[in-house]
Amino acid sequence: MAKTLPAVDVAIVGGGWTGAIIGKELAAANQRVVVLERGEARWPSPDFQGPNVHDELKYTRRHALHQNAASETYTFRNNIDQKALPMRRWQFAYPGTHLGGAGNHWSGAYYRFDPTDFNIRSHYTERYGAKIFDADLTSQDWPISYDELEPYFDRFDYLIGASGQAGNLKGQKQADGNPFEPWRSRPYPNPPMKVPFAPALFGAAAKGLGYHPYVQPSALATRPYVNSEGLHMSACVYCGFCSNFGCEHFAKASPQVCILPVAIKMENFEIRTGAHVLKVELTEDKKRARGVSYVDAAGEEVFQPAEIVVMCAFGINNVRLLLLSGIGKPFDPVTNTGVVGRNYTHQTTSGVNLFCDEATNINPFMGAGAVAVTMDDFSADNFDHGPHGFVGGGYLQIQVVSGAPIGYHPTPKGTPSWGSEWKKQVKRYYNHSASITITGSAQPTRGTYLSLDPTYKDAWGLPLLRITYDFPDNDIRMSAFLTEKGDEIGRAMKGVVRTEPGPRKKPFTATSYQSTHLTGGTAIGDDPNTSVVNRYGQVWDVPNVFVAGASLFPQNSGYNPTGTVGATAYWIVEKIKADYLRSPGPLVT
Amino acid sequence: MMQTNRMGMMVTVGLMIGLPVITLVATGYQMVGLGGEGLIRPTAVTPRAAPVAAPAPAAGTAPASPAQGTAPATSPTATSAAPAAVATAPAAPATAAASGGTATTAAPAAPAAATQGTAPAALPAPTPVPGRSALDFSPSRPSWEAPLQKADAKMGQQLASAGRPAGGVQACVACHGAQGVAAPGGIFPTLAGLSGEYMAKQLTDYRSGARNHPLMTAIAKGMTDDEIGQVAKYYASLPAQAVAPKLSGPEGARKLDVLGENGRALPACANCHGVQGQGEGPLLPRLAGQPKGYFIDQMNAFRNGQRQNDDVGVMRAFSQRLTPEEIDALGTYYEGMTTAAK
Repeated sequence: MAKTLPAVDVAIVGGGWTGAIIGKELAAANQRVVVLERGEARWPSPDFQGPNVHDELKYTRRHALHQNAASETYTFRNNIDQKALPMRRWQFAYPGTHLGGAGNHWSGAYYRFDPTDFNIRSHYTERYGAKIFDADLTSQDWPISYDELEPYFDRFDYLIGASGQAGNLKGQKQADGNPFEPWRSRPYPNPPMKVPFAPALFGAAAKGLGYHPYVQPSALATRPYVNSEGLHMSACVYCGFCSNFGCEHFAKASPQVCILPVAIKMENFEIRTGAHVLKVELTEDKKRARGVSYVDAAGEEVFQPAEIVVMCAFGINNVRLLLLSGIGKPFDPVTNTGVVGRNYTHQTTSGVNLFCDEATNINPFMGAGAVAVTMDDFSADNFDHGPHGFVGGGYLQIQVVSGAPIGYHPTPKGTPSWGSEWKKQVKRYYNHSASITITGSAQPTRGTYLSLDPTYKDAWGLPLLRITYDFPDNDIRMSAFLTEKGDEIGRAMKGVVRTEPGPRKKPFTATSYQSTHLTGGTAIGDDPNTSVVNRYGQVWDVPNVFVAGASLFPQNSGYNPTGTVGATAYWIVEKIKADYLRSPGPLVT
Repeated sequence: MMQTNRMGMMVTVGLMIGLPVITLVATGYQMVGLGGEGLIRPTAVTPRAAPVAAPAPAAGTAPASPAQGTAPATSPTATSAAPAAVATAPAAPATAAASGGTATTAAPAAPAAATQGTAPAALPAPTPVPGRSALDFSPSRPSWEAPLQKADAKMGQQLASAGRPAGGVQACVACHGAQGVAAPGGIFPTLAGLSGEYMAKQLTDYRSGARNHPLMTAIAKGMTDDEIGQVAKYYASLPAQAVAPKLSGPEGARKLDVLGENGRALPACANCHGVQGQGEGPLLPRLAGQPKGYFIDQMNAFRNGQRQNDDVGVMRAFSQRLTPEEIDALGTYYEGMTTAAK
């Protein structure tokens, strides 16, 4: 029998970016807030200080800050004719565990979605005609526009100390920035990052070909900064331990650097770690949440009553919790009905491996999670899609993250995967190779969705989430086009003697790394038949449950998601503060 | 992973020569006003509504330093309403409300925003990152690099011991010791064990004014690029003092060195300056064995903006978040981190 705790106003599931933002804002609005984090407390000091944090085996290989696949994993299949199997090792997602979630171990690549990402269906239809969409695509417009979200993007910029150079201030193009950037109301709070050698070579080659390369915006502070919560950040030192690590320098933006030290000072804000949420409990008519049930650190089941429940878990885990809780109608691809789990997407990435002469010293260990020279000439709808027959796009870049010894040993194709010849090639190429990364959008189809697995269960006896996904033909065509462009730039780079383009091919596999940006499943929308939540993240069927994070995205952009995750979190919580607290009930009728 | 003790390294016998009159002159300069405590202020606290750190403010826009740490009464930030979250901050950490076996997140020490006094004071204006735009990704090399690479250490040794009086370049050994190990108890740094790159950059920065010292600025201005390279290469060739097997010094300083402090967003000193203060990479200086007087002097110079050659201002920011007592303790800690030269 579960123990019942005293009621709170707001129970938040997950202690990452969205949970920290929404929790702190609601606490500041005099709500009693409890953030339930399944993992443990993790702070930059003492948990992430050097030299101990420089442990590739622990953090990258053994996933110390990721969901533990031994207690909760996913099952995967490419289509509904296959039987999904549970995965013990995966590389397609890094769902965060422990304080800060994925917002702690992320890389800090920081973009806003393009305005056309928000009205993709209507924009492309207007410019190219409805036929530009393959029949299987279920891409749909967001219910909110870029212009509506801009103030919230801005707010997130100044929370995280974003670094970059504005390309478009209030509609005025800026000479020193990215000419394709969507308008922004203020400059970045900090200047762009320094650039390692390989991105510099990429930039010079791309510029020579007439493209518009620029230094990627990042969430790694480039100088000492006091953020919008009055908290200090320091400057990135390009140590190469970003992605999958916590930042030792207070330079990478994370909830524990940018918000939580302020939030935990508030008497009515609490983070409860070791609280693994099992489900949202509903009233008998299923029209209202009563609170959430979780298993605490001692293994005891606890019921936490709450007036409002906000789902802030990793995107696809939000979907699973809604399905486990019986919130919203599960999507059925056969009948094409239901909404929860619908429009799941990944991201369509590819690359071009580059091998250089021995005079070109790349020094791959001199990097940071988000230090890159990138270009948007083929992002979003920045180029004419008419001749190509696909929707979407992506950016091309060289980003130098880390040359860590276990993971990084590039060799040309044809090299044996072990033995003396492998060693010889690793020695030859370790300091003389780089790769162009291409990060492309992903369109959903009727056959790409999330559901509860009928067979396999987690450590608590609950069905695992089943992922059904493969790349739509649209995205494969896009990847071929973008990768060819990348190869063209690679061949033009100084010092490069060999290029190996690797356009994305079917089938999707969950065991190889290809970005970890999973989106959709609780789509935001104006129509309850094709969305789970309304434009304020409020569940249509259960109005005291809100959902935040990348599960809102009806399809994925070619840009990294965190900027839009942060902006939508502020958008949602401001509406709750402004209207819902005063008059609880449906915000859209 | 990259640090190994230099225990086995041979220690050259340090010949301590008596400090000439010049030492007294320099000490006098220090006492008269540079590096004093008057400019030390509480950590900056910026209300969230303020457009903090607008990109690339002009270097000259730092407000005039208020006297003795008192915030001006007219400070706009002092009178504006602080966000509720900060203003009402209780001292107690968040606690679990009757949650039985539930682990409650341990609250780290209070963040600066919530604990510092109500006197917001501006940091020195952040150094604008020179020439950087989103379109500027061409690699550049520092001006001191080529002269350093081709330099002859022997010529550096000559200059170090004899100076070049005609050019106003004093002999280095007068203050920094015959083998680059400064006399204990003084305010001059030990140079043995510093990298050639660090030395060359510092001398270049003295020349440009990014780093200031009444003696060193004049000396560096008399030096050519080649002489800077030579002297740097010579001192880089001298062995560092051995690191003590047993760390001495106050516990609080040790904590700052190896763990930093979460509440003030202070990373461990060792993250950049290496395990046991040994230095790291070409440009992050060794702290172990530096005379305490020199250490404190430099921390104060960072604090009051007199020294501005810390790339993007990280040391200026950290030093402002340390108390004078902590700086003193760190000075003791690093100074003691050597065995006596044999």
